[in-house]
Amino acid sequence: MLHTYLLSIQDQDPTKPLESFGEKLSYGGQMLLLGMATVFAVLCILWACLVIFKMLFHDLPAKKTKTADTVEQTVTEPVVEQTDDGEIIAAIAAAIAMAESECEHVKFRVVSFRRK
Amino acid sequence: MLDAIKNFLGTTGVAQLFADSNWWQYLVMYVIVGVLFYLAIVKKYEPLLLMPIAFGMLLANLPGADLIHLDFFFDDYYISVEGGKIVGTLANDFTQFLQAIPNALYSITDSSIVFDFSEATLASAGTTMDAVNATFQEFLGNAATLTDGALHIKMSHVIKEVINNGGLVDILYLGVKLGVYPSLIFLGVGAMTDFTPLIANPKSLLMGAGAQLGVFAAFFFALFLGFSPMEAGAIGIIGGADGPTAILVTKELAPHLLGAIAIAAYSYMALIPIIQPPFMRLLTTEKERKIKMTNLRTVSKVEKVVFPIIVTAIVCLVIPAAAPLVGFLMLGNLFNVSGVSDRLSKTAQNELINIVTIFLGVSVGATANAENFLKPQTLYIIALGLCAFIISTCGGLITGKIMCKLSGGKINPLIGSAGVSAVPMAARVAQDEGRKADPSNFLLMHAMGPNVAGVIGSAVAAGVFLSFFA
Repeated sequence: MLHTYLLSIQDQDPTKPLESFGEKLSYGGQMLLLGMATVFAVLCILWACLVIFKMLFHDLPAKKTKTADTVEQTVTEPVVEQTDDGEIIAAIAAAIAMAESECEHVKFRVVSFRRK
Repeated sequence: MLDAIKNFLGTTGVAQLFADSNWWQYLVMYVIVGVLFYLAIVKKYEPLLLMPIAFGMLLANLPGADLIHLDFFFDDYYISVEGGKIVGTLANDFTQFLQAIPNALYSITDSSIVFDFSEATLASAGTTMDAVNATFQEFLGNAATLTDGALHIKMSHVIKEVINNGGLVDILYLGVKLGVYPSLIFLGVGAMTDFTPLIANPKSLLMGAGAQLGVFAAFFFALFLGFSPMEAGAIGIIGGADGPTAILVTKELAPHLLGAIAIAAYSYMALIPIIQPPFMRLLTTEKERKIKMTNLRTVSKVEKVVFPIIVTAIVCLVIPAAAPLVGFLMLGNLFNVSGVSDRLSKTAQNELINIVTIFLGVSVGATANAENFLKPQTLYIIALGLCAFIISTCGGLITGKIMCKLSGGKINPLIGSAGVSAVPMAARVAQDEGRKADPSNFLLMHAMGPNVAGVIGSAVAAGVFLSFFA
């Protein structure tokens, strides 16, 4: 079915306007379906890859930290609060966006986010 | 003395302007340029792009300035048929080629030459295709190609013409014609874009895909307005809300529409805060707009580094035509996230993208001269571009609504509208609309996921058109 669609689209000369209403409807409809299907297919493959990413790579740093912690148990280090950086950045970014949209005269810019 | 003054006055732009029977077209173009300057400077809508584009338009519409010769970039300038006579800079060579091959192989009409290289015709004329090709090589081999009866001027010949006889903007326009600028802009965009929200919430990709609906819908409608499929593809890509993508596709598929399409694409991108909100409110309920989304998970550095490499490999393997856009977008991102190429990342984000933006803006604006721009086609393109933006917004929102239902109300459908690309403006609009429904609702980071997915989605949609038509 898909192959037939591809052939019928490729048979047309794309440099010339289509003549009849039926031709336009059929050609445009096929391209719409094919185009959207291709975009969805490619992005769904990427989605699947990102899900695999999460399984493969997401926990890597955490495991490394654990190992490091076990090895260096005897060394006394200052305890770093385990908070979610993404969460903090999201909150700050949202607050800035709100401030910018409310007061256009705001005269500041964010140079960096740093934890104290 | 008086003659000298008269001669001098005759050479001024004002004299040349009013000597032209279409002088009023220039005045209309000045009004359009004024509107674009107003949008860029006073309203601050996409000033970095609209300002050079408007200035390029101004330069292109100053009689006598001779900064750009668009003719150089079209085959007709070199060889064409007018009233049954062959004209153009290569007319002599082409005539000699025609005289050297049998008459039965071609027929000249009032405005075109039709070749018939079918085996039967070649046999009855007592020649072969190899012999015809050899003759063509002898007379026109350095300047043109003849494939399947279609004649095309070689880019190397166009470049030679531009260097010998072109103006400043002609030389800058080569970057558009060769597809260099859009890729370099994407390099900078990639270096500036944070894909973390997308990696943290890969479902966003679906909204980026849904928001490409306007691209193909505008293609569909353009066919009904009398555009050829190639022109319709170039017009449809306006719905991708991505300037460099629109320029890359248009220069391949319909270079004669470049000015109108680029101006429509950038103007609508600038007007997103005005275009999108009514449809966002129309397609979502108050309850849906108030949905608060849970915080995104943290993303490891390994994920960030592997992401651009994998995306490039997958997208370019499936749609090789998207490689110039997706490849450079991801290369820029890799510069940024790898942490080992700060200098390259900073250059891509600042100096490089700024320089290319100036060249791109001026040269694209300069393609919009009165003769090319003031046609009914331009009005159609502007109307279709608006349709494309609206349908893309609706496509993203509908995908968002479906995902909201499927997730049991955990996804705010407003973020779907950000799938139209236009980073980060569309995400900000989603944030603003969410906050209007509930002041404590912060959707910006969530909307960035579909927003950057839209950049990839529009590059894929561009790849679809290029695969079919280029």
